[in-house]
Amino acid sequence: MKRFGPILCIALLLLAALDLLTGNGFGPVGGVLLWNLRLPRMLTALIAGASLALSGMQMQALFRNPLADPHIMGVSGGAGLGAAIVALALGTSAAWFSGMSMALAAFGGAFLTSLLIVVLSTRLRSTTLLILGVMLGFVFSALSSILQYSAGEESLKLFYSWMAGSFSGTRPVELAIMAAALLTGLVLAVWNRKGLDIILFGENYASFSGAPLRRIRTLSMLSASLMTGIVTAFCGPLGFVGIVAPHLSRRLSGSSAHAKVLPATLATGACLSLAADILANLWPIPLPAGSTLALIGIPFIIWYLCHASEH
Amino acid sequence: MQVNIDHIGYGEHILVRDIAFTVAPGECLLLAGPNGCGKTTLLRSLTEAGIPSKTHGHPRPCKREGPAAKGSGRGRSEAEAVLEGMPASAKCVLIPTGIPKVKGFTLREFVRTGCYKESDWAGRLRKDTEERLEDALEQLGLKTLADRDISTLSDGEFQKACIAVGLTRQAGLLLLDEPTAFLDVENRLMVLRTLRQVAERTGTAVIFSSHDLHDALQVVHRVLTITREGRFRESGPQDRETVLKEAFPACH
Repeated sequence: MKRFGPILCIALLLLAALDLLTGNGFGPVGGVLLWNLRLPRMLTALIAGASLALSGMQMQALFRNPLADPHIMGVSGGAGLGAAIVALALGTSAAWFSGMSMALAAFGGAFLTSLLIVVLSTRLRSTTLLILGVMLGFVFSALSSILQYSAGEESLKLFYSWMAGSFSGTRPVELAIMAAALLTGLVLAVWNRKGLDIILFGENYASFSGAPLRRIRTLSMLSASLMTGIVTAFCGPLGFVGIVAPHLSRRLSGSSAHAKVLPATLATGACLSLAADILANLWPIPLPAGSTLALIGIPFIIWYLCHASEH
Repeated sequence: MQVNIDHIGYGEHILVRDIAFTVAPGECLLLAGPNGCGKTTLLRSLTEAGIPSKTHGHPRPCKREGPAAKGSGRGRSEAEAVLEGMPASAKCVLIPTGIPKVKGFTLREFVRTGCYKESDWAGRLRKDTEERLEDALEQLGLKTLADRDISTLSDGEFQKACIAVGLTRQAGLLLLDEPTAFLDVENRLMVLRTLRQVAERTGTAVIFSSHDLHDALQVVHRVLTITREGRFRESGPQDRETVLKEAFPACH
């Protein structure tokens, strides 16, 4: 599509405006309601979507696999385990327990998992690494389930509400942290752009062109894990944006060169999560955003898989 | 230029000893030998020797090669190739086999992407490099295909695009690993002729490995062979076929 840039921008603005109009019942939009509840929610959805999409884009290039994304690679699973350890094993009764400490543990889990993947990525081939990431995710969720089994009612409730994924209830501090993470991740990705391009043609080719493979890998994993870790910590594990947005952007821009894919991915990621948030807030009782995201994302992935097998 | 390599191999596992040959600008050489005799490894060690600065990113070792790769200096080829008489500005550029034709890159974008070392952080080329790119496209007859998506090119055309990367990167010594593998007869001949033309017109020295001995013999000036026992031989312009026969005794 030739004019995909302006179209994406208009879609983004429309969805953002629409998101501000939905949620918290259908009453008149009061100033307080708008500024204190809906605006932070909209901004959270926007930043979270863009961050996860950008993470997914980098992982897909790095592993040269169209299905790679932080959720699949076990990074979200690591975050889940971190949150589970704090919320379930230690319990809400602990003196220092708060939403922030759970977020911190989730971030720790995500970051440690990414670190493990980066370390392993210097020794293993990309496909092996991808399978290992999926396995890691299973191990983490199994461990989380064991913790859930023995947890008290109150901590379970808290954990479940985090697990379901949500954009609402973020405080200004948390929003600022997420924005800072997105900015850092974005700078790293832009700086690493030509590395992401050349690695698509295989590690052999890249290294013989003089590309520093290890630096390219480390930069993109750092960028992806920072953004995923922070977003997952505050919003819960959100899948599918990371897979779907980069594919949509490649299709829209008709290119795989990251100079074009990167900005498009930011916009499509934000659009997708805004759409999911609108869908979540259309009902009298808001749905968890993680679930509506899956409802939007999964049909797309099935469509992609059916389409890809034709070629 | 004169090339000297004491031995190539991985750790204890030595593939070939005492490699010494000369290659002149504008010459086109065939590197032949049975599978697994060390052709790719030789090309790799030549490239490593030809990378001007070794501080940025070592080429990744290919772990599939040789069971002895494990535990022996991370599988790095231990050859120390010495290249003498190569101009300082020229580079060794290796085009590995089986580069994927990734959808979503035009031919021109592909060549620019391949110039990783030569471009700035945003992937832009300097003006003279950009001019070299256009020259290379012109010379290889790729001008009309320059804005086509590389996934729509034939394998032969794509191989030419890879050669364009080498020319744009100002290769003094252009190394190609199996450039004719996976090609049909027509494309094979086209690529081989292109290699000879590139060598003669641009003064680049070209060395390529191939199993299509018969076709390759028609375009190369001389041959380099590695025997199954790991002996290296360099032919002159006249005794090309005798030297080849030595490397493949079973065929004759």
